[in-house]
Amino acid sequence: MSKSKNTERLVETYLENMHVRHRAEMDRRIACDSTEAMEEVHRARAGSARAGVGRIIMMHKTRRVAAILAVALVLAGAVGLVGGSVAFSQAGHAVSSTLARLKEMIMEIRTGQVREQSPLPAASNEAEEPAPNPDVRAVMCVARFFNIPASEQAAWQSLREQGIEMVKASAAPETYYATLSREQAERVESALTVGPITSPRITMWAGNEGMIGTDVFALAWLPTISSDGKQIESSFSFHDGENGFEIPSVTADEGGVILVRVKGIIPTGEDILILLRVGHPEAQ
Amino acid sequence: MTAGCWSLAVLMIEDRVLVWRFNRGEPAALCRIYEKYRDPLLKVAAALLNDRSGVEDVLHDVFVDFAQTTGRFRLKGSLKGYLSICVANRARDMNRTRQRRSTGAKNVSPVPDEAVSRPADPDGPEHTAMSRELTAKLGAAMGDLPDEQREIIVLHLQGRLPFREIARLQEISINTAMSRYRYGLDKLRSILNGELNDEQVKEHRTSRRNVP
Repeated sequence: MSKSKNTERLVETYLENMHVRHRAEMDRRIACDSTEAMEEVHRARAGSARAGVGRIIMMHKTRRVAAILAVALVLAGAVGLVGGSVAFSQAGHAVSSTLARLKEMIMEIRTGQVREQSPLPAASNEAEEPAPNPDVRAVMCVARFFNIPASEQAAWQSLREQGIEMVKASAAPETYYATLSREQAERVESALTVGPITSPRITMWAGNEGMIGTDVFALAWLPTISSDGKQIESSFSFHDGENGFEIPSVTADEGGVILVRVKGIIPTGEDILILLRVGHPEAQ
Repeated sequence: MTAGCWSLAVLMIEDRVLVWRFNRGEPAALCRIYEKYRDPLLKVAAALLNDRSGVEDVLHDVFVDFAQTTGRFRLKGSLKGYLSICVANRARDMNRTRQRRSTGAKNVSPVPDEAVSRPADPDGPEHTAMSRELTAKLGAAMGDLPDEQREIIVLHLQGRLPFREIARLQEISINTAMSRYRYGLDKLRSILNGELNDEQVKEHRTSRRNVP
């Protein structure tokens, strides 16, 4: 063994065998201080966001354009006021509708329901946006959310009869998941006597996170594609600030679905059943 | 893809999910990141600090600073790598501050102290004594290295960071990172020259590996 390699291994062993004690007091201090720092940042940001409507408008190109349009229409209205009453009323209508849309956009930002959530660039903006990386692929997730009342146990019975084992993902909220083949998914759906409450879909670039869900319950979805491009892996997570679950790296066969059952979230006692079908957009 | 690669991918996906939740302001995500990387980061800090009583302060400062990036933190590469570099930078600052305060005092070598413990050697007291002597010499030799060389050695050998990632995070070229590593090891060898022979190294390694 060369002297250089000897020294390297000796140092490696020295570092590997270094045992540093940590105290529970240290853990508490760091957890408290860092959490406080994080919350302070969010509080400050929430305050400045409320104050800075102007900044909100300037952050997005579409909002800037809308704001300029609004100003232009106000000017046109002023001219129309001098020129004639018909022109003035048209300009007034345009101004009021533009302002209504602006107000809507600001409300969307405050409530977190921004319409421009899909990270895929719009086709019309292709000339202005940087060309997408061909190595990064678009992936689509189609979800169907069901509320399953306690009387509707046939769905779970159908799973058991098919020999489908559900994996526990979390205890709070009690969450189970399973990957189903196309046939199994069809049998499960046919056993349901209730219809989906919503069927959202989202298209993402692989490696980006997105949200998919209902008004009251949403999952974070992180898709990745294997290096050979054949498999799409998905990680799903949910957290309400206190409880949550994570389903890391699940893959369903082509046409198959990932089934998630969440218990105890809805006050009426119903379970949430989610069927998630992940694939390439062209295949769906 | 091998099993190792898959597990690394899963680890990185978990980190990405954690970062995403951290950016949403979830304290649970921050706590999970802390629990996940506390031990390796403590080791990095202990190996880089001249005075190990500051290990906890380094970790505290790094996590408080990290917490303040919530909402705008963008993860490029590994989270462990990023945090390790933060620890290295903070440890360097602390070394310099304390060195300035103790003007004229000799640089304190990172010999073992009460914050750092070592398991008992099962090969008997003589072996333990020799092992401790070697460890003390190594600790002193590491303390004599320039900061930038010691950082690369610790981040590569203990933090298990590839040179490419160290170079990217420290904003230096990969050749510079590798040169610093090589110069550091050469300097260590020259400091320890004559004090360590192959037999001692072998025994040291064997005795350490036997520790449960």
